[in-house]
Amino acid sequence: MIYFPKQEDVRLQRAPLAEVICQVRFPPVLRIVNEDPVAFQERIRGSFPQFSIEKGMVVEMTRLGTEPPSAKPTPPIYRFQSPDGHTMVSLALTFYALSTTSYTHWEDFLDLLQLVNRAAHEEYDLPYAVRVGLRYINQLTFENTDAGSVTELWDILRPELTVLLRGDCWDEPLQMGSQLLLAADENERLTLRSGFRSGEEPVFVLDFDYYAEGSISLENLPALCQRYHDVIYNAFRWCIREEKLAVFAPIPAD
Amino acid sequence: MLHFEDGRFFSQGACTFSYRPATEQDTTPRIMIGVQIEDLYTEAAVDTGGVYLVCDPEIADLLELDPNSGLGADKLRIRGFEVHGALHRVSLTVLAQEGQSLELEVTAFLPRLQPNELWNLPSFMGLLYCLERLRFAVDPGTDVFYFGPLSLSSPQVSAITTRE
Amino acid sequence: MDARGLSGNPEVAVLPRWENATTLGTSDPVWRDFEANVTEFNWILLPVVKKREQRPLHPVAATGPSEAIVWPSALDVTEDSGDGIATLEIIAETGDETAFVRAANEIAWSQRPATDFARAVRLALATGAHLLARKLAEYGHRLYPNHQELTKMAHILAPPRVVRTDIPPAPSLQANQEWLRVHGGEYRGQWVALRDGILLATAATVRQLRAYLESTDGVLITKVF
Repeated sequence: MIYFPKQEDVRLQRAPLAEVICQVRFPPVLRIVNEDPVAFQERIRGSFPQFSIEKGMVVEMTRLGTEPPSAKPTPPIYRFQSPDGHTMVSLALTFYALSTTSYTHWEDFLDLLQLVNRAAHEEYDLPYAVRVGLRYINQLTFENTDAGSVTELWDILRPELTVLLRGDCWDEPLQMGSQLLLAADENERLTLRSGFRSGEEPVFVLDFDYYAEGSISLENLPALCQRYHDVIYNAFRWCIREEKLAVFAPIPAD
Repeated sequence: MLHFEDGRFFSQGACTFSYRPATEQDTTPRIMIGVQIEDLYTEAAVDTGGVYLVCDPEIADLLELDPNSGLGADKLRIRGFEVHGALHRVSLTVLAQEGQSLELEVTAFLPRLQPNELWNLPSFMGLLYCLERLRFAVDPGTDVFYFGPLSLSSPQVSAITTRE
Repeated sequence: MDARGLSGNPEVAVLPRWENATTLGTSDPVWRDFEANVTEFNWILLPVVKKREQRPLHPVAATGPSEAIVWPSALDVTEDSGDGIATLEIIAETGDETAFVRAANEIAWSQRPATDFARAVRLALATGAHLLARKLAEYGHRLYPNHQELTKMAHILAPPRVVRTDIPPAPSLQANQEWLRVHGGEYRGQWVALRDGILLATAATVRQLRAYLESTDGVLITKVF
């Protein structure tokens, strides 16, 4: 179980967010890849006018290289982007997703999510979701924290996240990565991935991924994601030392 | 000569072939017939699973083809093997002992051997890019190879046939 | 989105494996530059540049003895970003002819520049897709009749052409074959020159053999195996 203290949602002028993703996975819908998603596009085109198709190849190589590799195409992924290119809807055989690299506030993201969910659910008559995930990927850098050194950067975070970086028997670690998987509920998980990479532009990554698996009704998706968001926000606030929150320029509530 | 049921000629020429392994290591006999590659009279194996007229590098050497006229390839994949060489357009004459010989313009692969690389194969005539415009038949009872162009209607026709 | 550039060259890299992550169906750009101590598998990554957006790669969890790699290539529906050729380059490296042909069929060739055709022809040859190479050369030459390389390719890769059907027979064939049948075993591994069933010369190489001959007219030059 997880017990992050509840925190009041505070907007951050300089939020260290690199990307926010909400992905809804469902049983394969063949119609998505066998037909052009015209009707789906029409429903969201006002907000996501740019369109492209992504096609991939799967190359399989045997572990010992005893057989020549073989390649086969993967189903296409349709991408619908906002005019500025920062926000995107992805539609594929087994999922749709909303992502953004210019996150403003949860309400804005949720509005778009509802638009996309309605379009997907109604156009393709999705019976249920098999996985719903909400992910916040933060990158703390010198630039967005005004830190002057890696130590200052680490000091923004709770010591639990940086203890390995400050070992007595080494200095100047090049890289650290860890993944903590927590059970939030019976079918719900929170993955907390953290990592540090040194170099010309040191970065500390805080990657929160809250998801549920099973047969999940899409009728309640907004409420579900709201709950995920709240947990992630509390986890994020827990990761940041309270006295260091100021580096992200919190906007006082009116 | 061989004919179709309606009297049209299937073949215009015939020659005897050798049925023997292509190399010392080969255990499978190959149909070897006399051919003329450009001006050089030599032998080549019929290889219906193959691609191009694959020339023995030493034969290719004797042809003295202009390198600029060819399509140099860093590598080609033939029969699953990666080989280096060039593709040229060459004249290939299938020689007849009876009837008429047949001259074709085909795509030949001239291998470019790497240092210390050996070539232990004869020249091969593949179907694609070489024999694909040929009708041919084999009579193993008499060791005769019959051949004729796809567009053949009678042996009196000697007009130049071209690809559509 | 992540605008990190990708090199056009293949590179060997080892990536962290974040399984069961919330994703967009491709890799995590944020974690791309992180190395991980994965000793089980190595992947050869052939990055694909996507128009206006560059998405790096991530491995898919193995389900058996083989490891699958997924990488995207984008094909804008209204404008060709050039990624189709990049995909062909990737597949050509694997030597998978079937996949190559399939991928080539996905490309809107009518909108491609001549250089793409020429490159694709070479890739097709390298992959063993010889018939496709011909079709691409032919089509490219039709679209760009003044492009020298495509003209050459179309000429060399064209189907065979019957030039002459009225050449008299070569009676010496049988005599030469008879000689090979009777005496071939004595000269195994040697090049021989025969005219009308008479041995003119033998040598270890064709060049040496040629040096013994005044002329090669009517002379069968062959290696005895």
